[in-house]
Amino acid sequence: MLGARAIVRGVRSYRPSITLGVIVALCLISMASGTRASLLGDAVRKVVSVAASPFLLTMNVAQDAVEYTTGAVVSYNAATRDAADLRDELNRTRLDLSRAATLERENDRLRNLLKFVRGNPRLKTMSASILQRSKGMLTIDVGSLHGVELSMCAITKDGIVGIVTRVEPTMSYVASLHHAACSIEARTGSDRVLGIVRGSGNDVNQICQVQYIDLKDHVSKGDEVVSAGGNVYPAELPIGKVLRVQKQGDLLRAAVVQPYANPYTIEELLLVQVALPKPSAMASRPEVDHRFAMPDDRPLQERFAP
Amino acid sequence: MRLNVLWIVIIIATALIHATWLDAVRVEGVLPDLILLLVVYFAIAFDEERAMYTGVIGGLFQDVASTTSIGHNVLCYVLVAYATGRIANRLVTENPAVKTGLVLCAALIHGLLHSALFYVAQPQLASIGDIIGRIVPTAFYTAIATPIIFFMLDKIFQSELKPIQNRIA
Repeated sequence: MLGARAIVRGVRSYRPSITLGVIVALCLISMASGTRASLLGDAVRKVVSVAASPFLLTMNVAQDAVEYTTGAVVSYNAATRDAADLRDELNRTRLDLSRAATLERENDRLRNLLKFVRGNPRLKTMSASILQRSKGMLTIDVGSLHGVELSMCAITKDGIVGIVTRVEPTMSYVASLHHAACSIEARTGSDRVLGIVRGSGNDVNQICQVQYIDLKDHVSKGDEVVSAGGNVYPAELPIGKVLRVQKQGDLLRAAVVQPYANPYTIEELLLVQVALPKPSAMASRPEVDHRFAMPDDRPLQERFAP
Repeated sequence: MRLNVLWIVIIIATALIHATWLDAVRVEGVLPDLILLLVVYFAIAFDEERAMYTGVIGGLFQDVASTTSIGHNVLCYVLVAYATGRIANRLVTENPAVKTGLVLCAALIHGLLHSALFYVAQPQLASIGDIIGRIVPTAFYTAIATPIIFFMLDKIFQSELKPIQNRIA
């Protein structure tokens, strides 16, 4: 009994040294066995990582806050430069976007024109862009050097636009359906009545009329107006739709027509160089040269009078 | 009981701070060794046994956080804790300069022990010049941080230290 007590007392008095010995021995064993990836190590690592994560998160938040606060002062010039650069870039991007949208619209228009050209193989056409428009008169970017001749028919996929009335070497003038100088022989109604389409001649009233319709001819609202064909226009090209029919003197009537092609919105048009008649029409006619006899030196009124 | 809980909490918090937030005060790649400060503090204020257990827990944290084998840092801290506790019994440790000097010596011994063990464990990786070139700056940095850390620990363990001081008196 006394011996046990003496042992306990001895252990107590040497407890730090014994503890040191035990710990050192354990450490040496651990190091000698290389318990780097042992179960204990993994478990302790997991515990430490879980316990340390709030500290790391807090530190990140604190660092961000400090950087954000000091950044406003320390890197003011850099931030101002960045803002200016970003503004410039934004403006450039807006410009690019605008250009892209314009190109996309132009692409759509040209694609439609191409589709129209491919869908009408009897027409040999030449494309032109509109440079200027004034009171129904369009200035286009092709002229005699490009093969443009007087009285060529200007069309779009929607229908007839007008007629070439003046040709310069590098540009030409097209009198649209809204221009007073434009007269086109046309057919309308279920009886395919012949008449002359004339423009109103002003920008406010953007409609035209089919004139010289006989009282007995049957023309009503909604009838489609198409070109009659001849030596200037290919036949059966759409012109517009009848809005109403009104009297023109005592013996004649006139149909107010809304043209399909709006010369104030189009940006490209096609000039018809050669227009072959439809095969059905060719079968019943003797073979003739359907090339337009141009230039025609007669005045417009004489040329397009009914 | 309260002392033990407070002691554990302080060690764990210090180990976590050492592993995470201490980078904020890194100077030329050198950091103060907070665990060593705790070890020396407990060796002076209490006894070498508590200091050794402090070294065990703190060293274990560092072993886990680093790539060394488990026991590497523990062994260094425990040996330093034992030696410091023994020496502190024979010194007038109330003087701040003595405490700081003790911390400086403990840090140098710890650094040397650490380097030696590292060299023994991985001679192919250890570069003695590089390791020793870090021991002295770390020891000085740790010694500089001593007054602040010890003051904070004194405040935390004030109520626990009074009975011990009374008993000694």
